[in-house]
Amino acid sequence: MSQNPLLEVRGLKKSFDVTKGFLKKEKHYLYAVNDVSFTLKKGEVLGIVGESGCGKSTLGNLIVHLHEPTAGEILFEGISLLDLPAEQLRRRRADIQIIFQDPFSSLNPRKRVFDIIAEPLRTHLALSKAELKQDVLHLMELVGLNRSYLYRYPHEFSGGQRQRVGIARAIALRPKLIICDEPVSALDVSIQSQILNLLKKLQKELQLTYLFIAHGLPAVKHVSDRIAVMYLGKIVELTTKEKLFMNPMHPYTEGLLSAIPIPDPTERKEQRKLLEGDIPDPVNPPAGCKFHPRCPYKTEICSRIEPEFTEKEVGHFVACHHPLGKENKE
Amino acid sequence: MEHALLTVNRLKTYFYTEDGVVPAVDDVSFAIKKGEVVAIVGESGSGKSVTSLSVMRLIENPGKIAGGEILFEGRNLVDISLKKMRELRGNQLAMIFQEPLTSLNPVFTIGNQLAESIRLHQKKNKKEAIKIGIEMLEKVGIARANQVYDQYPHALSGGMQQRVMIAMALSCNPKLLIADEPTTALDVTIQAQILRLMKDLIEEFGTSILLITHDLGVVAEMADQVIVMYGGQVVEQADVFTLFKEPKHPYTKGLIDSTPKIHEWKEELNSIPGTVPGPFEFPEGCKFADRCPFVMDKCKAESPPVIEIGKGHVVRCWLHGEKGLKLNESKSFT
Ligand SMILES: Nc1ncnc2c1ncn2[C@@H]1O[C@H](COP(=O)(O)OP(=O)(O)OP(=O)(O)O)[C@@H](O)[C@H]1O
Ligand SMILES: Nc1ncnc2c1ncn2[C@@H]1O[C@H](COP(=O)(O)OP(=O)(O)OP(=O)(O)O)[C@@H](O)[C@H]1O
Ligand code: SF4
Ligand SMILES: [Mg+2]
Ligand SMILES: [Mg+2]
Repeated sequence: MSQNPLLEVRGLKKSFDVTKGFLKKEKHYLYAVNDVSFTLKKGEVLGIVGESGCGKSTLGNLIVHLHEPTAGEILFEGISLLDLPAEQLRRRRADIQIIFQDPFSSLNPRKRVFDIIAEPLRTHLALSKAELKQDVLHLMELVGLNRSYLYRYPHEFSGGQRQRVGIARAIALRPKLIICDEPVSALDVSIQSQILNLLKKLQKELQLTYLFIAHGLPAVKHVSDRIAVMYLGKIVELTTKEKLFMNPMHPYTEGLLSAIPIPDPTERKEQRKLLEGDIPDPVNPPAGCKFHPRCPYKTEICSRIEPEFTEKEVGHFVACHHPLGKENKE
Repeated sequence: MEHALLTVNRLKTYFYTEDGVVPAVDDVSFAIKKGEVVAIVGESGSGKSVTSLSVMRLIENPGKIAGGEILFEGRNLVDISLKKMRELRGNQLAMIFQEPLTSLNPVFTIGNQLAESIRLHQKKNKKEAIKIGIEMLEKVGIARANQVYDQYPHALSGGMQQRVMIAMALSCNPKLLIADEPTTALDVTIQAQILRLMKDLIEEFGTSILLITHDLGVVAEMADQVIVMYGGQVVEQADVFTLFKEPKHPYTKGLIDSTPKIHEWKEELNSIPGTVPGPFEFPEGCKFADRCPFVMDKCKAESPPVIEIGKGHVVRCWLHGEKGLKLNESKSFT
């Protein structure tokens, strides 16, 4: 790859001290993000999927610096964010924005739409009153909010409209990178696709780069170029969305795909293969491959040695001792 | 014709709030036969939960069943005594909710609660109840059932809590199980396990299920009959194959089109324009009129009647009034 990545994450780790609640004196740590590495090109959308608690939000929060990493590096335009002086960091922060899952709690209920969207503009730019209003109205138009809503409060809006307000605020400063942390999971089905279409349209028009977090594959499929699948703090597979859907190589990805209920009764798969068991306790993760207790393909080595995250095919990264190829897939 | 286990007839459940009357369930009719899975699908606020709570007679002030009847094995649940109703709940009728923790008591062990329910409903002694309780836990796929029996609810994962809820609900061998979004709070791999479990139990016990969900994938996977609700009304009802193959109501079609399909690749996803109106914001006439791409003058003026356009296929839409226009022709959603 010739082009320098916009974002590069190297060996990123975040552990939380969860000793409280344990009786013993010895310390207990939960590795929410455990040695994660990837790059993101300018204008690219990387989807991050995985089940509850696998570390998606922690990863997003680390990149916007809501958490201090335990180890590893975050390079933004080639510069490490972790050792920037305060003033430069402040400016950098304007380049990286975040959109949260819950449009109900992420907006200040006492502020009007105008003030919510104007806030980042006021903080970072010196605009006249008229310019500010013009900018806000333009942003509202971009996200499909009627200008008559300018002086309304968040509680007067539906979930989808609130999420549009959140998006308008996030794009106000024309950031280079936006972390979307489950931006549609709290919304109704018919509204989810509206917001996904909007995010994709904005990404194209404003040449934005997204790290797009979601629980399930259906939600990331539409917007993403590449997708990373996480399990217990680790990326287990990372490749283009086409490859991931057509040719998943990690057994967990295969399990995720086959668990999605298909909205067509003629395709009921009575005998489809389901993953057994539950997600293990993250404080005491299994040895070896963290997925081995649920894996239908495990062998002796899987419970002993942790598989490395390597490029098995061009642009297709997998952490598995027995990646699925065309031969061993049923 | 086979006799229905439950028949809901023109049910109306209204909330008499300070701001006005909310017709949360407005003229809803459907029937469930023995061993059948009937799914109610619709977006937030469409009246799914209020419908199921009405069947259980669990509507609280300021809500009230304002009309209609709920016939369970011929008895009208709307006007039997609360005492009789309490007997039916837990025996013939059981319900599970989206958040299992809200219905499990945090200060008692799983086994305690399970055995209590079994003793109450099956008139077993303590020792028998423990044995049946552990068997039930095994039946719903809980590994190490012996140990889990003595644990407290918070020590279990969401999926395990939901399995326990299902075990509790089934421990009294109900004829009808109402499941209100039983898998919505769960991860997709765990959801798949719970759905399979429910299917196995239908086969084994012949339980009828009223399944409430907003996920058409779950509907397609589980249901025999489907009821689509919008704004407190049934807008379409059909067997699952007909509904997905030939949806007649624009809302049903919009919902199906906007559900992501795993093997479909397109530039833009289908969606339904606008948002679901608040309880007092629905338009006059057809409640879907302000979001409907097929809207006609008549729709804005007059509420469409429910008509049967095929065997057991019911739709509430003016497109199928006198003329019977076909949905797949002319316009579609973008
Ligand atoms: N401040 C914290 N202290 C202790 N543990 C934490 C903290 N924040 C997160 N965790 C734990 O870290 C793990 C990862 O959490 P995270 O919120 O990143 O997951 P997620 O993938 O975003 O999950 P979800 O899909 O439920 O949002 C979880 O086990 C969580 O309980
Ligand atoms: N206690 C109450 N007081 C006033 N209105 C109520 C009350 N409970 C429900 N409603 C109203 O009844 C309507 C239907 O609500 P219901 O809970 O049945 O929706 P639902 O289809 O289950 O939605 P969701 O998918 O969000 O669970 C809503 O408009 C709601 O505001
Ligand atoms: S390493 Fe082994 S246990 Fe882990 S996913 Fe691959 S085959 Fe399964
Ligand atoms: Mg999260
Ligand atoms: Mg509900």
